[in-house]
Amino acid sequence: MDILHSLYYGFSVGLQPQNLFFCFVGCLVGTLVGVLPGIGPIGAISILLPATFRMSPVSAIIMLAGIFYGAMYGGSTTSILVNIPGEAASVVTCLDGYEMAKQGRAGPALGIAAFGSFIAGTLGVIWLMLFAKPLSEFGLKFGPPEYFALILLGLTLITYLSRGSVIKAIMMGAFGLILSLIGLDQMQGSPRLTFNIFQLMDGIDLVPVAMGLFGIAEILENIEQTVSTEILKTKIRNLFPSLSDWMQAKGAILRGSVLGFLIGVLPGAGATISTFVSYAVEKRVSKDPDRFGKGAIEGVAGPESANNAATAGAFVPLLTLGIPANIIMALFFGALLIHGMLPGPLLLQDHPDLFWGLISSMYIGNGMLLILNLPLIPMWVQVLKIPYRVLFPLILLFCIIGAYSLKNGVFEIILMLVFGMLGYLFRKFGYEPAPLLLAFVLGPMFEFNLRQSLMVSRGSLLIFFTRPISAVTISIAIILFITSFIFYFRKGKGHKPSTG
Amino acid sequence: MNRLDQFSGLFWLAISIIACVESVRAHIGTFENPGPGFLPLWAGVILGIFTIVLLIMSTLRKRVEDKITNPFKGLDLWKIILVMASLFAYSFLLSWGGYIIMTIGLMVFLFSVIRRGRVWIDLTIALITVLASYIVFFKWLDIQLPKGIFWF
Repeated sequence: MDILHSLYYGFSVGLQPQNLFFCFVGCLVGTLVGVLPGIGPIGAISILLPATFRMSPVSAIIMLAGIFYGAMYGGSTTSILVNIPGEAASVVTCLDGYEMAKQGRAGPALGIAAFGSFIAGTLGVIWLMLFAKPLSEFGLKFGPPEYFALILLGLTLITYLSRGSVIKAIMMGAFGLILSLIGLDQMQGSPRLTFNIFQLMDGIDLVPVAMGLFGIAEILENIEQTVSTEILKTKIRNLFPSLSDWMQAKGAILRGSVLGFLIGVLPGAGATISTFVSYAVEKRVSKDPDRFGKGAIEGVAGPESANNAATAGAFVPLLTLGIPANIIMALFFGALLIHGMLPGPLLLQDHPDLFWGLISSMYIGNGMLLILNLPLIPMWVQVLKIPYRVLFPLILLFCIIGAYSLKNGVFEIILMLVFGMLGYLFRKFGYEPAPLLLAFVLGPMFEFNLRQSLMVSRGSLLIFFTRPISAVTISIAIILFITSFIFYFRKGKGHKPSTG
Repeated sequence: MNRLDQFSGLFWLAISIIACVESVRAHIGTFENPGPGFLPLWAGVILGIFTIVLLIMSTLRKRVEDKITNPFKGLDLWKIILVMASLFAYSFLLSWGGYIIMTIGLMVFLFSVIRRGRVWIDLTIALITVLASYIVFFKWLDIQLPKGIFWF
């Protein structure tokens, strides 16, 4: 009953006209971002983060959340029609979605993707709602050692799960940590790593780093070679899947929802990994696995459900424990801080309007997205025809204005461009930016809890092993760290799914 | 030998050394009372250790097993250089020229980087974009865009 009352309160917040408007804007922008290859939800959220400064915190988070789960809906459109994923979490949908489109079944593919996303998204929000309060109460038992251990686990997981070299992932994490500590020391107020540059006294802002590494760098990668996109010329008919489509896909949707939510909760994992896992599971449980890759509807339903459930799952550790589960949640973490809210176990208690308003907006947003994604598919197809030579300068302009608006100065633009160049070079030299950004966001919290713990224990590291939660968490982190190296040296540069 | 890793390794080694030196300068403190330089030092040390591991591995790796190719081969690098140069120039001249004039110029230039279109079409799109962005960001969102020497 308590949950029902809270949900009722949440809807009273979510249904306020300005919140409804920003939910719609977020869903629309998210779908657009998902449809358009060349910019993903990370870039979009980074770019639009400065635009939220003048909104209320609740409206800001509602809009940004709309972009996040909206992109999951929109990404399936280009995967199915163009065989180019709109964003990373839609890569797997290309395998069977495009095949279905070639067989004249683009409509059922798009339809099952949209309906599966809706069902999974709704289930994910329900589970988020049910798990949040008990987890928050559990989180109240956390002290500095537990928080340090949990952040360490998150950083370890993201390096464990990153594609390519584990060594490079650790190096990026260390670099991100260094960058996060530039500026005035939060405890003693003395400058460090500022090189006497006045503008660095306040530290480096999240926005130029995120926009540079993910927005600018992605644009540079896209313009380095001309890629033509040819939209499959097929009539999109029968967007409502048939009964036999539903019978085939229902198991995949439910399994995808559960898997996606659980994977989304894990720090370091994300929507992309959930889609790969879901696809693998569907292939495994199928009576005829040879159909996969040739237009199996389960190959669309499962991953598309998983990525939407994962978006809801990703909110769990952020809103209850204050630990971002992936890069996008790291941006949300930054957004909450910018709006004067401290993510953590007390968020639910201190800002129930934010939490329950967000929950209700996710219910509303899922409904909006179903409407946006089905009847408006022909419109999204037209959007795909905008030439990239026109699109990328517009995206760059948004980035520039976003960076400039932080402090009304050119320094942040230059910083963003520097990170843009670095991000591009990182991709070329095989370094993933995800561990850098996560470490950058978590660095100050990591340092604060480490120093607090050491001061309490008078310098003894045993404090992390004598407290049960911290001991278990750090042990898991150590085991993952060691196994990632065993895996790395046994298989060489094995390909692992990317995060985020 | 993996030249890419060796080249990048030198970069990371430099970053590591700089971080460690600056951390010592910022005061490391002790384990009982960690100072501002405590965690940056450890982060710098970890970065340095793994950089050395990377350099050793890239040196020992046999050429026949090394399938790393030039990542810039076959790419239109000049487009990247042009875009970045124009963006940096725009940043430095923004306060002087003002948002409207500088952004129109930047947009027209960037539209032509991938493929040249008709100038009047590019100019029209640039004008519409700049005016729309000016209204949204300056008038509605109240962001103080630079006026430059021309007062607009």
